Amino acid sequence: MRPPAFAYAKPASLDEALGLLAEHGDDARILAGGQSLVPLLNFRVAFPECLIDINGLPDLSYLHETADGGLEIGALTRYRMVEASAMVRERWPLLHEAIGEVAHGPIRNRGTIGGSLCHADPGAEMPTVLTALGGSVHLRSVRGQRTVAANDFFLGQLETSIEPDELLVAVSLPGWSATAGGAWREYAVRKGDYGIVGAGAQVQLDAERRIERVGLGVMNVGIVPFDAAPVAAPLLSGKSADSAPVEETAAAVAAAVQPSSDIHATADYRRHLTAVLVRRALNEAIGRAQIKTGRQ
Amino acid sequence: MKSECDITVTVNGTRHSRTVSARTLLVDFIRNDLGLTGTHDSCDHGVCGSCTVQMNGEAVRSCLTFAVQADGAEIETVEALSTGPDLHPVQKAFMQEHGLQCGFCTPGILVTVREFLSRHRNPSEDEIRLALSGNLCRCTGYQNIIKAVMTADRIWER
Repeated sequence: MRPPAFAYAKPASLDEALGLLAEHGDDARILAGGQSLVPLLNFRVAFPECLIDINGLPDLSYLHETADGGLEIGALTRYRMVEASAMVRERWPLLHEAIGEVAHGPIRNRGTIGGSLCHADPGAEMPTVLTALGGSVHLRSVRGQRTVAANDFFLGQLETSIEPDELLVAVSLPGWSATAGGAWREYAVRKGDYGIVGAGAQVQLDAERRIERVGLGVMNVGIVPFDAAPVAAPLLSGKSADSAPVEETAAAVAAAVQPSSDIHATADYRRHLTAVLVRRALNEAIGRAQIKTGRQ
Repeated sequence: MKSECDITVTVNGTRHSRTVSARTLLVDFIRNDLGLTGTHDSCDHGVCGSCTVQMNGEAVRSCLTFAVQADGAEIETVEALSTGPDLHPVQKAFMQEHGLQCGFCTPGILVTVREFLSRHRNPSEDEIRLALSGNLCRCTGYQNIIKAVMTADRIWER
């Protein structure tokens, strides 16, 4: 089908974009990569009165390592830019591997990190990546700015806590030690399809190679990313990397999630996948942390 | 806020200035306004790949791009591969290896392959399959498409 009619504006500055949002708010949608929004328009499940095209704001596209070892990503940063970054591949393997599972090349050429987070599809990788790494989003409006943690941002299927006059401008990943290990494991029927379940694990070891910090997120076992760190951290904290109870942790996470059944998978299958993918992601993350710690 | 926009787009080396509705998709602009029907349109949500064109050197889905977003851009469609009887090496390879049947998916695949091979040499079969994972073909079963890409890699001097 074809999109319904809408009015169009392409602001030349962030202030102009925020002014348009203040004026049109509820009736407007932001056009960034368009890889999630335009299908909604083509299928006529969304009827925005106007589109605010932010592709004229290149200052919103960046990868910036912060002083505390974290990473700030501009909202307009294309998947392709993150995928090509040697720094991300080396320092944020969870993010790097998750990007590789996002759709296909042409989608990644245009799609943006900010767009995926705002769209909040339960089957999308970026919301669960943000949850697993303990990240937050930066929102701006003419009223000011605020920072929202991942756990408070994703509210439901295609629903976030962003206000109608707000623009997501950047994403922050907190600092993890230089020796932290991370991994993303996902299962889809065909490469690039929406994953049936995905898991992102981030593990940090202390000087004695005991687990001192864990991040864990599970994708598509509910309408929002599942933050599994509260389940996993008590089981893994303080344990030696060589003998961490990964199987027990994976089983505990699988017991904690409450997926529903749909045409792609039954709830039982999603629980099974949760156990398998959490186990694989944790094992890989711990292994990578051990290698990095060993180099020191 | 406008519902109609003036755009200037370079397509296959030719500059076009037109007025379009904001909601006109790039695939429709290419096919209907410019008469370049090599680019095809099928799923309208980015999955099948038949609408793939190059925008500023990158493969993109023209069904998920508005024509107004191509203002000032350089677009290359499948028609850019050859202008006369001399086929592009990628096209020759697809003919040689029988990498197409009905041809519906073929333009999207050729554009994707062109971008892929311009950035990779001597790809493995797995790398080719990964690169083409966003292009669906109902006819061939993909085997000859893979062979065609491998042949194109050998014969295309780039």
